[in-house]
Order: sequence, then C-alpha cells, then structure tokens
Amino acid sequence: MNVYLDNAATTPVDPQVVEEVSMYQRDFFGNASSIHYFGKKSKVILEDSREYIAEFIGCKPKELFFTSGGTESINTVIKGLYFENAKEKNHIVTTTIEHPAVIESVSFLEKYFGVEVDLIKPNSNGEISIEDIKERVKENTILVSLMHSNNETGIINDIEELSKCTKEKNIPFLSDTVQSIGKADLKFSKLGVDFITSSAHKIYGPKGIGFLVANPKFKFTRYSDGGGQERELRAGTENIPLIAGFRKAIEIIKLNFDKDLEHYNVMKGYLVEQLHQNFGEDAKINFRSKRNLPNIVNVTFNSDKYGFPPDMFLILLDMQGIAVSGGSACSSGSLKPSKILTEIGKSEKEALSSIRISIGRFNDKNNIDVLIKGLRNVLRLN
Amino acid sequence: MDNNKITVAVAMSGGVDSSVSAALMKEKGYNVFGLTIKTWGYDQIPENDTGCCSLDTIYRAQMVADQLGIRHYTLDFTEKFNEVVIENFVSEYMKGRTPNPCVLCNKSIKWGPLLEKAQNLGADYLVTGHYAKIKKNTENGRYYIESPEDKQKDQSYFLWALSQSALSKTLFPLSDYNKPEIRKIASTLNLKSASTPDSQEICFVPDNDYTKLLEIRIPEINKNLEGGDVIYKGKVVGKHRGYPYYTIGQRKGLYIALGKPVYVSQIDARNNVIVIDDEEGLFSTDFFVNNVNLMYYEHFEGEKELLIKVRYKDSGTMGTIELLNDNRIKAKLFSPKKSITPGQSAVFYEGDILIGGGIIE
Repeated sequence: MNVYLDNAATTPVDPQVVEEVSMYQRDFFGNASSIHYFGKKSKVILEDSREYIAEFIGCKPKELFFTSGGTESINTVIKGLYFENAKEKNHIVTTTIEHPAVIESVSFLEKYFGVEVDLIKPNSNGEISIEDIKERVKENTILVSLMHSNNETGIINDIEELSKCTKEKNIPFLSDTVQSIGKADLKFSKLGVDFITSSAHKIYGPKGIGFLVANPKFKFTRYSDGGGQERELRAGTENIPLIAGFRKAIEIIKLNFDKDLEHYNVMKGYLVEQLHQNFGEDAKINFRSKRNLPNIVNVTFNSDKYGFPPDMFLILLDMQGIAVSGGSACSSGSLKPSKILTEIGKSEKEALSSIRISIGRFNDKNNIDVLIKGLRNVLRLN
Repeated sequence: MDNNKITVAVAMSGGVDSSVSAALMKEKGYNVFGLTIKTWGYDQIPENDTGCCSLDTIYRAQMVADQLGIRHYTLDFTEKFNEVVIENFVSEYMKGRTPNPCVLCNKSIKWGPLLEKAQNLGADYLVTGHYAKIKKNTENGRYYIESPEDKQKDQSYFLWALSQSALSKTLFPLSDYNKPEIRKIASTLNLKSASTPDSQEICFVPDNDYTKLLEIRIPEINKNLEGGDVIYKGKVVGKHRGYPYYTIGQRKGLYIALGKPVYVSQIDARNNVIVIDDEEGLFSTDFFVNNVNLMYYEHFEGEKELLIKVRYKDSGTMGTIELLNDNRIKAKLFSPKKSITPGQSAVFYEGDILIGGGIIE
C-alpha cells in the first residue's frame, strides 16, 4: 500500500473537481474570445469563475489574472515589473528561502540586466526577520518579495507587518501565497501586498492553472504577446475546463474551510504525538514558530543512533510505501539535501535525515499509523 | 531459499540488456527493484544520447521499471564518477597511455558505491545486464568469471578487476542467452528499451572524440603541447599536435609523408615525443602488467600457459604469464601481437575461465 503524505508538493484532485473538469472538457469547448454562442458560453464561465475566486481571495475581479500556476505568476511579476520600470529602478529585496521561481527570476535579472539583488537569510529556526528586509529597502527598490508561508518549514511570515512599510514607501510587494491558500485565512485586501499567487494543484484542483492577483497601481510588462487575453496581460486561449475546475476547488475550500483546518490540526497533533511516543528525542520537530501552517511537519531523525544511511532515507521510506519529501528532487529524480535545512546550519547528514510530512484533506489517522510503522521499519525498531 | 525472499537491485541503464535482466529476475520470482546512476552532467558538454546514464536513458529506465511494476530510483554519482573515472581517464592520456574507463567504472563505481547503496536499500545481490557468467571454484571456494554463451557479446574482459566480495554479491541473468534472444524477449514484453541501439562509445566522451574532453578539462592543451617531435627510426621527421592527441597504432592524422604507411608506436609524454614506425615495428611479444587481480586462483607458481587478450574484441593470443612479487605479471606471447597499448587491460583465460587481469605498463 502506498500512503501519500506529500500534499505540499501537490494534492490529489478532489473527485468533485475531476467531475467538473471533465464535464467542461466535454461540453464547453468554445473559444472565450469568439462572438458566437459557443464562445459566449465559455466567456461566461471564465468571468463567472474570476468573480467567484476574486470574492474568495478578497480582490476585485479585474485584479485577478488566470495563469498556468505559481511559477508563471511569479515570473510575470518579477520580470514584468523590471521591464516596465528598468530605467529608474533596479534593486530587489527577497529571501534565500523563496520558491525557485523567485530565486531564479531574480538571478536571471541579476545576470543579464545587472539588477542588484539583496537576499535575506533566515535565522537558525528558519524565520525571516521583517526588520532585516525593511533595512534593505532603498530608493531604487523595484520589488520586495516574501513568501506568505514556506513550503518546507510551514512557517508563516508576518506579511501584514512588512506591507505597512512597502505601502508607506510605495514599493511593490509580491507575496507567494501558493502554500497558504486553503490553510490560512487570507485576503488580498487585508494583507496589504500588491501581488499574490496561487496554484490550483496545491488545493485539490487540476495542474496547469492558477492565478496572479495584481494591484493595478503597479504596471508590469506582459508575459506573453498574442491575442490580448486577460486584459492584454497574458495572451493565449483561456483554458475553460481547468478554470472551472479551479473554481470548483475554491468552492470546496470555501464550504469546508473550518472543517479542513480542524482536520489538519487534529492530524498534525496526532502525528506529532506519535512521533514523540515512538522516537522521543530522536525525532526532532523543526521550525516551531509563532505561526505555522497546520499541515506541515518537518522532522529530523537521529541517523547516528538508528544507523540508517541518510542519503537513502527517502528511498527506504518509498520502499515501505510512504510518500513524503526531503530535499529537492532534480530532473533526473536523484536527491540533494534540502537547501533551507543546510542554510540554517544543519549538516548535510542531518538535512538528509530530515523529512517533510504534509497532510492533506484525504489523509486519515490510519495513514499516520502506516507512516509510523514504515519509519520504525526503516529505523530498524521493529 | 525461495527466490521471493531474495531481494535484488538491478542496475538499469535504460538499455535493452539491463531491462531484460530486470524482467528475467522478476519472472523468476525475486523481489526486484531498479537503480540507475546519474554520471552525466559534470562537464557542460552536450548530452550524449547514445551513452548510458544520460537524462534520456534515465527516463527510459524509469519507464521500463514502471512497465515491469518494480520500484526504481536514480542515484546521483556525478561527483564520484568525475573524481574516480573521468579524472583518471584524463590523467592517463596525459601520461601518454590509453585508459579503459569501463574497467575502472565497473570496479570503482558499479561494484563500489552502487553495490554499497544497493545493499543499504536491502538488496542481497546486485544484478547487471553483462554478458558473462559467475561461477565458484569448488577446490578453493573462489568466485570467478567465465565467458558467456554469446561469444560475440562476451563482456568478461571488462570485469577482470572485480573483487571476490563483489562477485559473491552479483548475479548475471543474461549469461545463458545470446543478444538476439534478449532482443526478442524485450520485444515480446514490449519494453520501451526493446530497440535501443547497443552502446559502443564511452558514455562521458562527447561525439566519441576523447580529445574534446581533454580540451574541456585542460585549457590550452594543444597550444602548450603542439610542436613536439615526431621521430622515425631515430630521426625527427615532423612535428605533432600534442602527444595526448595520439594513440598507439594510429595511422591517420599523422600528416607525415614517408612514402609508406607509418603508425604511432610509442608515446613519450615526458619529452612530448611521438615515435612512429612501419607496421612491423608495432609487433611485440613481451610486456608487463600491474594492478593485477586474480580470480580463479588465489596464487600460482611458475609460468602458466594461457590465452591473453590485450584489448576488448581481441580474440586473444596464447602465451605465458608469471606472477611477480609486487602485484605485477610478466607476460610473453607465443606470437607477436600488434599495438600492445599501455593503459589497456590484459586479461588472461584458460578456455572460458577468466584467470585474472591487469593493466598493461
């Protein structure tokens, strides 16, 4: 049996979403830009979904753009802002623990356009100091980028605090909210940021669809040229079935938000308790902070005591039918130690002996029991 | 012991041989998982599609494992492979020798860290798609390699350096098959790798041209070494491009007009000199071998008469070997052999039995 506890990487698609997407694939093929009946049908679904999702996330419909997901949204903002404002401003402040889409986009601008980049490092608990970011902001800062919550640590950053500063100085602020939507009560209007992102596949929706919410105050050069879709900011025929599926995923979250949260908290509590009961001090829970996502547990096992080969840890767990994650997987599928764990001072061995367990809506206590049993096997306790 | 209680790790390159090896082990009821090592990617050179361990072949190994319903993992050996195999390859050429990286990779990568990781993951045996047999000498309990059924595909030459403990943990399921049979099994099973071409080249060498790799690793190599003397019968007859650009027996690319075919007969790295000779001058009978590894015998006294192969695809020449005390062997062929090349492996056989091997000095 395989148990899936890697919901921060991606989630299983909710069966209701699967139904919705396939129904729209079948019945609504029209091009939303066409003037005829078929096109109009699609257009209505498109704009209705936009309104619905905008209401959920707390923005105006015209501020919400459908994209292929978080990575595209981030690329659009970072590169688009630079290209729009390049003459006057060329400094970016962000952190070393952002998603690669952020890190690689700013590195791209640094390498090819000489943009000055300040990368803030986390403290030994994985926390980013808001003060550190504020101190780096300058006259010519074009963008501040700080993720809402980190995918590996689950730590939620104080975005509201930082946005007071960016608002006052009139600097665009991008917050990658991909991991937080559905797990934290989050409204664009309350965060005070200028750009947020989402990927449907992190919230039981389909892959290949997401959004960018953008404050119209800050202009950015469009990502792709073509038919002028998405208010001329993202050309390409809209993917109506995926957008409808995205909307459905949001609808389910809206209906179940409290229930989901309760579920995550109960499961996380049970997991932490079981880890403690079974491994005591030899399973160290990392990154306990003021605010954490309710569904992520990052834990380091004492590889010296248990004598398992750290670099084989995830593979050994997979052989037990347990899907969790550790470092970042590269395209060949081989493993590197987690960047953030090494960044906060863990040795390569400790980093490789660590796993991130991320709980989803469809996990139950039985799954946790299987995980614990598999861990005991790998750690040679059974 | 029942096969289903034995766990084996199949080293899967994405090619047809290792794919069928995995299929055969699964069919025999073993508990099977697949491993692919990533060795490519250290140098920023275009990926070699035909070699093993490129991204395409890793993906293909994953697809085949999925077809067979076995788990599969990729292990990143890029750094280790670079340190052990590629650096040795470059330094051997710089010493004027012609290395055999496959022998070294087998000994120090596949039956080194790969075997170790396989055991870490619970494997009792490592399985590869080599065409060779593993047997045990009942008299002294030693493991040894034997030529397989398919003499055309005989890969025993590359396996002479394996240790006793490595051999004791290895299974070669293809030993009793010939290549057409393996291809047939692959196509019957409809394996994704059924029609992959046989690999002929060294996996990390771009465009099958080792000098390109040398130029990447040693900047300005040709600038610093070009212009050395080419010597024929004691006289300077021309200048060369740098000694690492030549191999023993090479005829083409010398650009020396002596009115008859001449060949590289000696590479003197220390003095940056290439010696050329007529074809007759390339033949010799006596040579020394170091880094010797014996398989069938632990030791032997005096001279032993057997078949000696001095390169892969060499059908072999009869001769004698004598063990010297510093892990070396003195070899003497009964008839002269062309282009016995320092750095290549000499491998010794009694019939099909691999007695041992070493590196030609």
